[in-house]
Amino acid sequence: MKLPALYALVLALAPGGLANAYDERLDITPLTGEHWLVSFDFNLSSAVSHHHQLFPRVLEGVLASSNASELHLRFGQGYWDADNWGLTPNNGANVAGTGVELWARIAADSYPDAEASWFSLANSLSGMFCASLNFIDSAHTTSPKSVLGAFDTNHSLYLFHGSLPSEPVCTENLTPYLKLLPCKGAAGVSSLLDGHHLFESQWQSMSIDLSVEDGRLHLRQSIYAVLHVDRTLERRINPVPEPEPYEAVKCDSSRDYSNPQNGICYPRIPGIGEINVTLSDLFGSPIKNGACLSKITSKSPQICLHIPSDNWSVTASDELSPAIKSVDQICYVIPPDSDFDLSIHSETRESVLPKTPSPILASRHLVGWGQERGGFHSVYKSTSGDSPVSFVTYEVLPWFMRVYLHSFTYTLFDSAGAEVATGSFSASNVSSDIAQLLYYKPAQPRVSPSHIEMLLTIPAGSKLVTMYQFEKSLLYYNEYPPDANRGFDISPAIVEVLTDSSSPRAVFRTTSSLLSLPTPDFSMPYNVIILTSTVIALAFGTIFNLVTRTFVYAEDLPKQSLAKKLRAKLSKITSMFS
Amino acid sequence: MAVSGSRVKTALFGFIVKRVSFLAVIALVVGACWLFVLPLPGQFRNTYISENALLPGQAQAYFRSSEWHYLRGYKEEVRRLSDKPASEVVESLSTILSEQGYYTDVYHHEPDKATVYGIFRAPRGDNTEAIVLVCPWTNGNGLFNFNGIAIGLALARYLTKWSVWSKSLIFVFPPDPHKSLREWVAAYHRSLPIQAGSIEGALVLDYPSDLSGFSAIDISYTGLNGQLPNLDLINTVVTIADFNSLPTFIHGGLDKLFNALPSFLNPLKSSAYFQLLSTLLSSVAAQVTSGLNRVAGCESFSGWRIDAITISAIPTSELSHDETVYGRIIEGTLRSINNLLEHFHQSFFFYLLLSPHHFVSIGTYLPAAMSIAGAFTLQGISKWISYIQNGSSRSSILKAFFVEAAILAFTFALLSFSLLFDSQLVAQMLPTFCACIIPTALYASPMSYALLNEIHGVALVLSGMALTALATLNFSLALVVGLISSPLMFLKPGINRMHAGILLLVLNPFFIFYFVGMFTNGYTYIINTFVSSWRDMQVWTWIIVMCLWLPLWEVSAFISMANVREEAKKEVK
Repeated sequence: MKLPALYALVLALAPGGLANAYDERLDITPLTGEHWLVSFDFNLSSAVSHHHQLFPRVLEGVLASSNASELHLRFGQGYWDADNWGLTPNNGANVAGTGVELWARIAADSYPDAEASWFSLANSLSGMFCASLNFIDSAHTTSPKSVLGAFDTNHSLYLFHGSLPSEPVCTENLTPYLKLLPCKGAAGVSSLLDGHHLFESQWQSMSIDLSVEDGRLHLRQSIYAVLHVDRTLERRINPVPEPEPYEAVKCDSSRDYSNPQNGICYPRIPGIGEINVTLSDLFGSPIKNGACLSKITSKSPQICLHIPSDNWSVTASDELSPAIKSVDQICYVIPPDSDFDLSIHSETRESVLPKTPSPILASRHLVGWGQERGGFHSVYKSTSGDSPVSFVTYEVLPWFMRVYLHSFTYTLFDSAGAEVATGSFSASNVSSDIAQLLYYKPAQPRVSPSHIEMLLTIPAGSKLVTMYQFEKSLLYYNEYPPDANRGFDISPAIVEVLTDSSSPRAVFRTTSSLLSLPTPDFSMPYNVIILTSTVIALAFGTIFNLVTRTFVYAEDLPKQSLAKKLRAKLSKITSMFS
Repeated sequence: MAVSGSRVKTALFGFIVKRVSFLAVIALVVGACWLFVLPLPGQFRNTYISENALLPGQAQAYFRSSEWHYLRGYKEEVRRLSDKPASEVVESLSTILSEQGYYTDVYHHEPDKATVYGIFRAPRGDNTEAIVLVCPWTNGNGLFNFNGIAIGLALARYLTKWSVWSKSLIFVFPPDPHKSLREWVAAYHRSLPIQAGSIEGALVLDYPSDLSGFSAIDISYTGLNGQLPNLDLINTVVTIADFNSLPTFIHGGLDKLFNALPSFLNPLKSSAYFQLLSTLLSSVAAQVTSGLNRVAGCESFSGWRIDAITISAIPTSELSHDETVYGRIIEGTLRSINNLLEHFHQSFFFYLLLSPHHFVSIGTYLPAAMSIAGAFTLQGISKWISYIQNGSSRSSILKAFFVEAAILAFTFALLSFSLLFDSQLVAQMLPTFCACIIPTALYASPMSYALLNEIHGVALVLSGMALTALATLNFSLALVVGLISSPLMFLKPGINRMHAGILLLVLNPFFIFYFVGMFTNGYTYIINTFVSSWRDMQVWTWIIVMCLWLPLWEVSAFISMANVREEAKKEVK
């Protein structure tokens, strides 16, 4: 019984600071009246040693075998609505795009060695997280030049990046993810993480960031989700959205005709007015007690609500008083000995804290028609009113999209929507003060993808539209994935907003796109095989007959008597027995 | 044996060669009768759901009971908007949509025309796929789409309560289902600022009444230039309507025509054959005139690999299905499309419907157009054979091609002229221009019978080839153009000019348009419709008329009116 305490004492006295430092927290931020952002953060830092009290042994094994000094894994799904929700949490540093994304910095003597380690890393993570990361081959791998931390280049370290936008994220990825936590999701804020509730959300992102620094291993796990509060609450009472009973119909009484008694009702605007919700309403259960946590860390988990506290009231279970209460947040320290629940109430749910606006709004989509060509049309809108914004875009396109770089054009619109400047890349000119091609690596069919990095600068309040064309290649018959008629998912573009070196860069990703390629009718080859086989069989039979037989006129045949014929037959039969 | 075989072959060949022209007549008759065989039992097939994921009608639809209260609320709102100016309508529609959490934007076509559209981001999707619901302000017949818009708005509110959507929903409110919708679809695939990925399916809601009751739904499915939506989409709607015990019709135009007749004369009442035939013929008619006269709305999505249909309610004041049934059919169809992981691809893309539950696929109906096209080719060959037998000089074939090329260049110039200067005056001038060929032929120096025959032969073979190619793309257009112009193949050089003149007049495309125009909106209206359908909707029909039908007419007119050189004529005799 005393052992853990003794062990903790030994660890505390160990040279070089604490052997293990762990903390976790949950932040709840209403973004609009309907959409609430919940952010779970788990931070673990551990000395590199042979004792794996907290740090997951598997991960260290993976790091050691691949010589990776940094490893980032992202799982994401859904659409982050930057217009209404602002910048993604933590400046987007831990936020995922659609699908699965992996990047790592690998130490090796040469590029081929590093690449081999990278593939083995992807393969081992694939098994660990039940994700198809093993599909990251050279045709999915790039080395970013100016994004994802590539700017602090150390020559013996190689940075690799790969993404699989069509990978669906599901509970089978969440379970191994939670297993990495010290309490395996059984206690503390992670006890709220249940697949049914997490994947019901409008948008969600799971991340793992692993790094080795100064002889310590740092592991940060973050889960972000945007809950649609009304749908989440409704689902508990009424799993299928059946029509409300007649007496519960909510009408907008400001319209004169709107009267439920007459059966005419103009609906009330959703997402405003009163709200009354508890943690267990949102997540299905309260936070389970933190006994497991108290054994491993002295820091109790925190839960913070980011709300204008004048309009909102929050009460904790057991009348616990908040640890911090200010104008814009209320925080509680979760007691280690009992379950913890919060009840949140507001009369005006639409009053939320002002959001951090995203410095630019970016969207990218496929344009054009037909199965032969297409184009990518991207729109970047500056939201800041006073200074120009510079940002880097990183796009990886599969080899079957053959990009025409000369077709790249851009058009700049001012805040009033008038066209200010246009330009294009030609052979002699790949840079201007608006668009500059930082890096371009053309695709090699079946070997490597196209890799484009561009530096774009837009004046305050303006909108930049860029466009380029591509041609669709034909695939081999066996290269089509299952469900080929769905189309091919194209990885989101990564956009990093450049700032002065002191502050971290804001990062975000556009949505993925669905590219439709000419798809064969897969039953056709079988029809062709059957038809050709028939034709060949018929032709073969006739020709074989003609070649092997001798044709003689019937009148030329020697006449044979019946007795002779019989004798010949008889001799044939006897020869069979001899 | 071998000797006698080759003897038989030569004899048979000779026998056939002498009767190629007769074979052409047989092919023509077979082609013309083929469609009438299709409605016979055993020729058509029952429709079936090919894509298992669709599961039509398996999900309970909940657009009922208190949702009707909201629908009545929106109807009241639409009633108030009905006499307001367009700008106010656009503003109100955007407000209603954005109140319900839609990302709303307005696409401006012209100063006074704008399309409102709103996107509901799929709770279970990544904004890469979308389903479009179109509620045009007026329908294809120019009627105010009262309930269509109200049901659209009520569904927009109701559907956001579901978290099952894996494809975003786009609600579009264009001023009309014709040019405006087409422009919006084109803009979506070019540069619209708010996007929701690739469109997997589109439904056009057409309920042009404020009556709460409707008796049946009518499905319009033809796309432009012979394109059709996947048969699975139609089957899905029909299956869901069956579950709601709602009758369905396909392009129900002819039914109405026959229903005007007294009951004992009405063949539809008495015979299943005539019912199937009338739907089949109306499907063919719809495909020929698609994008020209009555535009249902689903045509606008042609060309982007989007499967679209128009679902029209037939309003009635009698006690029958109420408007929420219409909403539930849309809801059920959306649920089915939402189930799809892949794009519609399992079922047929080339078919003709004989009833909501019966169809013929391309292998069964294509022989109709193909044998008509074949008749042209055979007749052309027979003229050519007679040229070989007459032993004319080799250079005359070049002359024949030259004449054909000159006439094609002339009709192409006429086409460009009509497209460039689109006006009533040009439309009036076109017949005069096309008739120029007759004085040219009359005053040209006499030509040999063989050469004239050969010119006609080349034109017929080329038309046959063009019709064959067209038949695989737009079956109905090839069939109709082939049938109408087929008598031209029987004209000969030196034929009685009076008889030839009457035939040429009757078969002239412009005369036929004039004749049709007398019973409809007039000749210039028809020509302008052709031209504007090419400009606004990229409908090929005008190109086919000017580059396939008219050249054949011109050649036939030339050879039948030209003076035949006497000695050459003798040679033939």
